Amino acid sequence: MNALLASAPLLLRRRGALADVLPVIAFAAATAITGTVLGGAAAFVGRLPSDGEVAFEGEASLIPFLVSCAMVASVLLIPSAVGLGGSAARLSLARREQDLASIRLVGGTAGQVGAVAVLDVAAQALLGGLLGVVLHLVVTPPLTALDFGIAPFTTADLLMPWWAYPLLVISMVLLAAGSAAVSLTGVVLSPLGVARDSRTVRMSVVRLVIWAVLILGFLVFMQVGGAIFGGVADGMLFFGIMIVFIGAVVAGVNVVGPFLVWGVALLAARTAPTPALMVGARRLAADPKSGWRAVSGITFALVIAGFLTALATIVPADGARAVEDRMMATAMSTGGLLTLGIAAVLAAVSTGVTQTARVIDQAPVLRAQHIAGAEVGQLHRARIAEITLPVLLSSVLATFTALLVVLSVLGSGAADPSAAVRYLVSVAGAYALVILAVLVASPLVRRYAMRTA
Amino acid sequence: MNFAPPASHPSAAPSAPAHPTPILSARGLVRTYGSDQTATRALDGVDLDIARADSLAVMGPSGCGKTTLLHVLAGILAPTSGTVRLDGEALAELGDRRRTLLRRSEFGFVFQDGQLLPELTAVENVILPRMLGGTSRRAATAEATAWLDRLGLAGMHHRRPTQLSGGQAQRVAVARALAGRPSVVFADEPTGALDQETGQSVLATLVDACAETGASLVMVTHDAKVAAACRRTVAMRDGRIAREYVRPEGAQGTGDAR
Repeated sequence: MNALLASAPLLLRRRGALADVLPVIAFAAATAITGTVLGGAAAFVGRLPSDGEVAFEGEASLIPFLVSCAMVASVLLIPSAVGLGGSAARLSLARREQDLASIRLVGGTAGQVGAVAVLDVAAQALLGGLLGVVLHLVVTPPLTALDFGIAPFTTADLLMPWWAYPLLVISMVLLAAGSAAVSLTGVVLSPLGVARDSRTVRMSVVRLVIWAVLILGFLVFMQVGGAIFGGVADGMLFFGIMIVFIGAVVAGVNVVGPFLVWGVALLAARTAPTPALMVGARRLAADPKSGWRAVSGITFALVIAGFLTALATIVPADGARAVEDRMMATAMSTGGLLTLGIAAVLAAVSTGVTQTARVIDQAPVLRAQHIAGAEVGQLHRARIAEITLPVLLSSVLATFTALLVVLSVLGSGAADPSAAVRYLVSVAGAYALVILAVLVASPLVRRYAMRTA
Repeated sequence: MNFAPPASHPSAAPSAPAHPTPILSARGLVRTYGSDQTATRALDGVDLDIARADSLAVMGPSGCGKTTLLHVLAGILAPTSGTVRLDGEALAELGDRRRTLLRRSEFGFVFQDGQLLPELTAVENVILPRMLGGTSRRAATAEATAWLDRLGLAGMHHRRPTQLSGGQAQRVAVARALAGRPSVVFADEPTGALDQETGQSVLATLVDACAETGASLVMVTHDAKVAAACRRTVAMRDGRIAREYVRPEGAQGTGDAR
């Protein structure tokens, strides 16, 4: 094993700038976002009165509620950032498959090769994690300029304690190694190449059932939970369970999403009248999880946008109200937009990285298709079809989830028609983001299709 | 095996004899990779004519330029100098889009590893080039189904390439190459990844189907037994055609391919 590990750096020599950089970018973004979100939440917690005294006026009276909002934002954002880290690990592994087969060819056992693969991913996660911490330290000072309606935060407020940074990087490395190890379970590493599990993909209906149960559970809890838990710890237990439920419902979108993509893609592939839709739908049906991952960031941003548009309708913006109300309005507006901004960055990185990675994966097939007479424009259209289907589904799911949660928590707060307009603007923004992500990888499609080697 | 064209292919031609007018003509082909001191001349002045419905094997050791020749003849690679003409039309004068359309309508390709799209079913792999050319799914499917049945793949239309054996997958590639009624089929080591018996069967399928439909066949191989399936063989060395051999009528065969 030691000999193999010693020779691994030779065998895992870097293959190409882009293929190596993509996972590192994703790890860096995931680490930076996690650090920034946790630091921000800690800053609000730091404003809580240390003696536990309850204030009834001024800034101090708002802090407990703002802390709760920061917690909700963290619950919403951090799973997506962690998910991006997991996706990066799988991407990194996919880039290395041929190298891993080479190690098998020179005598490595499947276990040894698996260990080298996991270590390779962990090394990229370490590099990305360190870069992410630097990125977090760079973006934190400008964030102090944000107006939350309360006394401004200093850079020191928004940074985590020093010991949290190594913990953050180590967590990212462990997450990456774990994701890589799990991904390897569906792969046969042979000396002649890497064979993925070639069984026909079937998404279990259990995914739909799990999501339905979560939705029903949430609705029931919102109806009866207040009566049962409202009196415990000044309602904090009810509030805590509600936050967990919201997190579970939002996370559940990623459980049911691949199932819906699979079902719709199968239907579309069987009846597609155009070659672009046929190819795009078949690729989705063959790997619905990847197809969904490409838009999961956007789905999440749309859910946040849905929350925000509904919340904005209940936050008072009238200048005649009390000072605390205006402070609250400012805090909600800034915090909401910050959350949406971070979600948009997550979505952009996630979509861009996954789209580019898919093009790299498909390079030989793109060239074969072009040789056989497929125009580059037709190859682009197949990619757009492949991404459009999940985006449409994600828009529907995100809208449904956001409305469900907001209406359950806030009642009919989202009845304002202008809120619907604002939400539609967010949906249009999400589509623009997808088109941008597809365009980012377009030069690669042309390059691979027309490559002469 | 009878390769009479499928019923849904009304325009399919009967077995055609070699025609004196070349469908594909190459003159003075030179192709250089790299530049200055690292430059490698893969093709070094190749002249070649391929007649309609004829079959040509391009042989030679690794690195002699045979695959480069196939790519240049098919308009995939532009020659450094020299011309390739299809039915009198110079490929170099066409833009990439026109050459792409030409490959789609006039050429068929069979690669060593099939290069089937792994996510598509067998029938979808065959109809894809036809749909790219504007044929409706229904019409393309009718043609593809007939071709797959003819090539011994009845009942396997909806299997994906990973659910087929190597020989079956290569037959799908042959069906895909021929479904568009191409003038020329280019095959690059079409049996190279198959065992002897399967390779022999696939080779017979390819040669017979090309002959039955009137398509010219240009096949790159390093195996003399595979080359023996073609009427003509050119042997390449260092980017040049070193010698040419034309088999007498009836002397070609696929009985001992590979």
